[in-house]
Amino acid sequence: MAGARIQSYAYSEGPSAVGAAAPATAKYQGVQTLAVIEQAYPADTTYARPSTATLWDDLLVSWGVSLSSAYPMGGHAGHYAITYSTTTQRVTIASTNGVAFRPVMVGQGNVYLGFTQDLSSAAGWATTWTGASAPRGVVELVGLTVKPAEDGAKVTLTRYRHGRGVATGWGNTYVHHVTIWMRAEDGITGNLNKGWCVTGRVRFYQGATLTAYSPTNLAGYLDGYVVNASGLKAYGTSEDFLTMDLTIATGRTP
Amino acid sequence: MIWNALQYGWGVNWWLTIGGIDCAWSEASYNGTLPAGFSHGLRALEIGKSAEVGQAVDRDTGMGQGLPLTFSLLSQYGAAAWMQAPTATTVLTANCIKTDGTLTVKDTSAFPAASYGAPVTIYIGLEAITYTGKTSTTFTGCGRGCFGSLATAHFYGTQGGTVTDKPRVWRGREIRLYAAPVSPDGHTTGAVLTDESLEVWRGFIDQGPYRDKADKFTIEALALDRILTNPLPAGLTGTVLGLDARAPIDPASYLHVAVNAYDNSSPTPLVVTGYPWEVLITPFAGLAPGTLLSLAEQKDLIHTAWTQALIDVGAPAVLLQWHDTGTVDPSADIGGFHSTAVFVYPANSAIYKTILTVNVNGHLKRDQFPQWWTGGLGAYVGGNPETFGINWVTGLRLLPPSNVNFDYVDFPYTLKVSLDSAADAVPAYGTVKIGDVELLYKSSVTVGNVAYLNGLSPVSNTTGYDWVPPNDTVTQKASIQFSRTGLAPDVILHLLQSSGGLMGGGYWDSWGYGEGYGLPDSAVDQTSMSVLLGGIESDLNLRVGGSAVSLQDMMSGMLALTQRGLVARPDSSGSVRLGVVSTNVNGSWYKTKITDDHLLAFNGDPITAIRKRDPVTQIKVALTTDAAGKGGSQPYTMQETAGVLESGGQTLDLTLSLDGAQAHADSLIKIWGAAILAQTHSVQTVEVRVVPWLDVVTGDLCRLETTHPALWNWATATEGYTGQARCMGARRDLGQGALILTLLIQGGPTVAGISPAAQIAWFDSGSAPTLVNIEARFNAYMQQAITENAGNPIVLTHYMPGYGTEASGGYLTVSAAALVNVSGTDYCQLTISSHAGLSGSLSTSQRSTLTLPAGGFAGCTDWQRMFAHADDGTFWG
Amino acid sequence: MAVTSPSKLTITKEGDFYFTAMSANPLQTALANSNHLYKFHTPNLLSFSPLGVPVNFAQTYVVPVMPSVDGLSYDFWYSILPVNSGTMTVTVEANTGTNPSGGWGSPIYPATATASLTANVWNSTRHTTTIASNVRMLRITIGSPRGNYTLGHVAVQPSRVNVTSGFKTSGFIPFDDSLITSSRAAINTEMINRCKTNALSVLNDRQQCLASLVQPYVVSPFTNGPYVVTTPGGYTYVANRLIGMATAHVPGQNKMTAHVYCLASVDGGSTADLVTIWGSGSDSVTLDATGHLVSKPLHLQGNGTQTSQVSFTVRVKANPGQKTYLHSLIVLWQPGEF
Repeated sequence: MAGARIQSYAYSEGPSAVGAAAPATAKYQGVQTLAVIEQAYPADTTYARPSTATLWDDLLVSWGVSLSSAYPMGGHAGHYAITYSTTTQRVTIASTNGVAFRPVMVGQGNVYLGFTQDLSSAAGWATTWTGASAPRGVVELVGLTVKPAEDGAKVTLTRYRHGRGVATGWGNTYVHHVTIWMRAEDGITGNLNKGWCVTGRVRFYQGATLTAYSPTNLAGYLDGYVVNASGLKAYGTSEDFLTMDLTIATGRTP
Repeated sequence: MIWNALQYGWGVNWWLTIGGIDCAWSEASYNGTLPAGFSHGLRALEIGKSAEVGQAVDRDTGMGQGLPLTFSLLSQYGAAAWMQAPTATTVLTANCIKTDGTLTVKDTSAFPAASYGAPVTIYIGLEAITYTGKTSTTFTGCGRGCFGSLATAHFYGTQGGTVTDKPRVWRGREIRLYAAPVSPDGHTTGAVLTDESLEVWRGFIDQGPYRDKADKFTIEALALDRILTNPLPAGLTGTVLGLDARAPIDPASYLHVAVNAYDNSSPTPLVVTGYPWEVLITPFAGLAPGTLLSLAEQKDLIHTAWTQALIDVGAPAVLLQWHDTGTVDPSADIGGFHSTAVFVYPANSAIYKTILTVNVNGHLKRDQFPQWWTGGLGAYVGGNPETFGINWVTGLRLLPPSNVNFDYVDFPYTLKVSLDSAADAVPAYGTVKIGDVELLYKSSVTVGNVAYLNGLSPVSNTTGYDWVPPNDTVTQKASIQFSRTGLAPDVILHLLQSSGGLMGGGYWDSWGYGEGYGLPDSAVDQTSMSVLLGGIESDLNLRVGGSAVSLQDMMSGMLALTQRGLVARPDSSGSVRLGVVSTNVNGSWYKTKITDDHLLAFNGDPITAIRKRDPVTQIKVALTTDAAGKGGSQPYTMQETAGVLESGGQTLDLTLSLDGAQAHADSLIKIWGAAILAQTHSVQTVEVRVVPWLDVVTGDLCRLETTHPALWNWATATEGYTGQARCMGARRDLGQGALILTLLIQGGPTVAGISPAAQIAWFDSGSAPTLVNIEARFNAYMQQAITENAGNPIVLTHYMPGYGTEASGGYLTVSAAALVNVSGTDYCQLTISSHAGLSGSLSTSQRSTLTLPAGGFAGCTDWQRMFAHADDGTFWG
Repeated sequence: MAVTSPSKLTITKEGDFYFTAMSANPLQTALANSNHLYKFHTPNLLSFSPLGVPVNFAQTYVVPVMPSVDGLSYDFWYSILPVNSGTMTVTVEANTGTNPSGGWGSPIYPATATASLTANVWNSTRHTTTIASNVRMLRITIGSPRGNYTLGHVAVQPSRVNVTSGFKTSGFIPFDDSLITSSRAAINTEMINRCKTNALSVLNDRQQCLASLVQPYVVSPFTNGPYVVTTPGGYTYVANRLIGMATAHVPGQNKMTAHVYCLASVDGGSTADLVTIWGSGSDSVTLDATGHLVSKPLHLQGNGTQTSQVSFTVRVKANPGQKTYLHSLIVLWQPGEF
């Protein structure tokens, strides 16, 4: 159902309590917290947050489960599912049992999920909300190439900048050189510059295969740490395509 | 933890504060509010990409060796505004202490007005002070110790009494370096900058700021533990001016004489008209409390006051004269004089009986009752002078600060020394060396540049005052040193924090100014001192002191001998503090496990064996037992003979200073020396580069499990090492965040910690327990054991000491451990998922005890096997 | 798999604690040594040579004791010099109170004949009896003489019996070697601490007799005898008569606190402060002669060397018109902590 894409990991240390017990923000509050306020209970905000760093797909599922499990607590009644469509490139937060609510984003969550519209109390109540733009936590690619693994024993530890962010890349691992191709659409370049998908731990999906890359599963996904990222480069003369070279490190043990 | 997030694309923003400068300096701009008390923040910080910050501890001296830090403040981001000479200057005209809210200066006109809502900052020395009001000669409403500086006493008449509107001095200001998290998209987190920041380094400016490369100001700073090599007062020297006994007086001292006369009425005699007649003198009134006066001066004042009082009272009916016989009565207290007063009754036939009373108070003492008459005399024929004599004793007194009763002790001599330099650092108790002679003095008073030392005795006599000066003492050169005794943890804390109350403050600031470094409580990990030094070392009374000696000079022998170190490192409180760590590789309970997955390839091998020097084969301990550094026995020489024959004597020279001969010192020193010699052959130092998200600081015990070929395991003939490792140094590459550890690992015989044994305090069922309570201190151990077992339950053996065959007590399987509080006492509560072989049942009266299962038993985990078990070849049997 | 009672102490070399050969077993040795201590540390609870002349009738002695809290069995040794050969009887009774006129109960060692004693030589006879932990006085009766005899000395010391399992009231935890000798058993902190607590328990529990002065027990009226103290006639001062001196060897001791137990009575008049004992380094301690057992602490001072000694002097006083009789005085001592 999906083509080549990069998915990021959102760092989280918890606390993993849900509902009213969870505090509004956590330490290292980046994008790991999602909350809802239900129309029937406008004074209660229910927060969801995983206790460990979580992959994009799993994060959406984890939020849905956490927010749903808060029922019935403090009158909260809704069941939720958060989904992402690769065709429209939009995140949808929906109540599966028709409860009217409003999502609350914490930290940079709105940009991460692509909800750039106004979500303040003036936005009203609905049973389903869809992001106004493409999320930054996942980047759709035209394609990517993964070179075979090299021994990473001589990889240099580097600190590199991308846009505003500064990240640390390391490796004592196998190293893959990965080149990605994208369409030159506004969202894409913005997404990449936001940094989530080109720093730290990321997962590259080549296509629909949801199993890991190996010599016998060449279409599988590659999960690793970004050691280095070049800037965006134009590909070809049409300027329709952009490319970027990344160095990814993966663990030695199978 | 901030370093964990680095794996997921987070970055680190370094920021620091400079003590007394109202600015938080950061590498990048940030959201959130400034740290409390600060009102400026600039993103002007530049830390060199090749810089490393960290700490290390040296086994042979027991001292920490922090790495220096160099950083720059960029002009273009506002640093230049701070680099300006003061435009308004004045000086203090009175001393101030660290809590004074009002400062008295010469002239405040050059300084701006301030108000409560808009305080203005001034600088004295390293301290920043804000004022909210001023008069022409004072600053009022002062907030002391602002912007991270330390509130300190300041003295007028010295360089340190200069008050400026901009910082005048930079050298010595405290630098505190923090790491703040930055998310992958470049945002900072936390409402206040300090919320999620971790302190990584702490130290003092050594050089700078100096102009560097046309666009920045560079500062070089040394780590906090470098202070331990700074000498404490550089032996004040001076010249002996006099020996006259002098003592401080109490201006409230008085003498009261009353004469009364009675007639012969019966049954009760009546007072004769005109009586009683009284005189009251206060000879020292008008002098400042504590003024030092010699015996002659005191006598003079008493005589003058007495004579004047007689003139003032002017009673023609009685006549008193003052005859001062002027002898120093050798039988009375030293420093007294005998005087006689004459009293003449006028002719008055009504007088039959007279009574004379004399009262003194304060610093005058009446030693001998005057003569007086009692009983009837019949009609008295006036005109005959009657005499009474008094021995005035204006003894010289020791004024211990705690003694408000001015208990009375005599000193025959006071050493008056004219000091060569400012006298604000004369220790209250210490030693003074005149020529070759060393004396102990027990109190000191300083007036200007002159020190008066009292309570002089030979150094060994700590309670006497029996020094007799040789003839040529006056005009000799004298040098004053301090001398103190105490147990190891107490001595170190005093040395770190004492300042005579002028600086750091806190419970341990009880020695005098110049007898300690004056560090505040926030810089010292007090708990680690008592925990790590409060064991067997607490039986030895140490003596520290001397002139121009540093803490390293005084304590490194003790620390090295007991395999401890004093190092400034980030500790559990979240800040960098000086604390005591262990410098050997003993123990079983580690904090962090380092595996191959953590090793960092970084232009070379991640593990390098360091061979610094040959193992120590000889330890020489020079023992001193008095303040002069003399008097000890011959130095102990402990040697490992085989090693000396093979490889020569690699000697470790240590000095230990004890307070007098202590019988058990012998056996302790030999035990410690033997322990060092036993280990020295078998430990090895390796340098390991690991990923930044390991939580390891200097002094931590870690477990290193690696197959890296740089290490060879002779026992199993395989590459790598599996065992304990003590972190002797940890430094972080600021540019990339790599963590480089210096680890001490076991070479030959391994040493294991003794297995714990926990007595059961409570259980829910003796024969089928599901919950068991043991002491709370085992909680972290039990949780760690379960975690190390991948969350699976662990097995513990049960036995009852002293009962039957202790082997057959059965096993309990523990699935969880948690802290519970029962009636105000904390316990560790174990959840028992199953049990086996419990013959009989648990019993608290029979002291059921839980310990680790046998090393060969299937239920014994790898982690439990690391503790001492019998028959394991290298452990106790 | 047993609680051992080694007959000798084994000394482990210091080096064996660091570089342990598998056979050295230093911890096990140290624990076994503490068992040895329990069996073999048997200082005299009582040691007295009673005052008196040879007599040919039964004599009774009432002496204070402070036995072990473990209810140990004690060996009683008697040295008797009879003029004629034949057996005699020995009886021991115990009292948990302080009033010798009552509360004796059944004898803990009923009248039993000794072996036949040889005439004109010192004979040594012994028996073993358990003394309960709450006993405070013993009444020893030597009787059925065949003629004149002299009781030279009585000694009471704990018997040397093997250590049994189960921890003791004194705090001693016997070492059973089954746990530590089973293969790869944990070496734990409790075992190491046990070495020290065991040694301390045994030392503190077994009181040692430093000095004693005992006379045959008689009740008022007292016949004039050499150690019945009366006021000499014709003097106005009150007699304070020296009746005993002793020296105890206390190697290695500095400050010590001992306890004096005294049983003395008068035939009338005030009983206060009639017995005085002084020990070197102490103030003197006076005790009342109430006829009941009284005790007080006595602070002593040795010189800390191996030849350290303390001396005792006992004086008894009689007020005018009364006689004072000292039945027994025992100084007991527990070693302090090291």
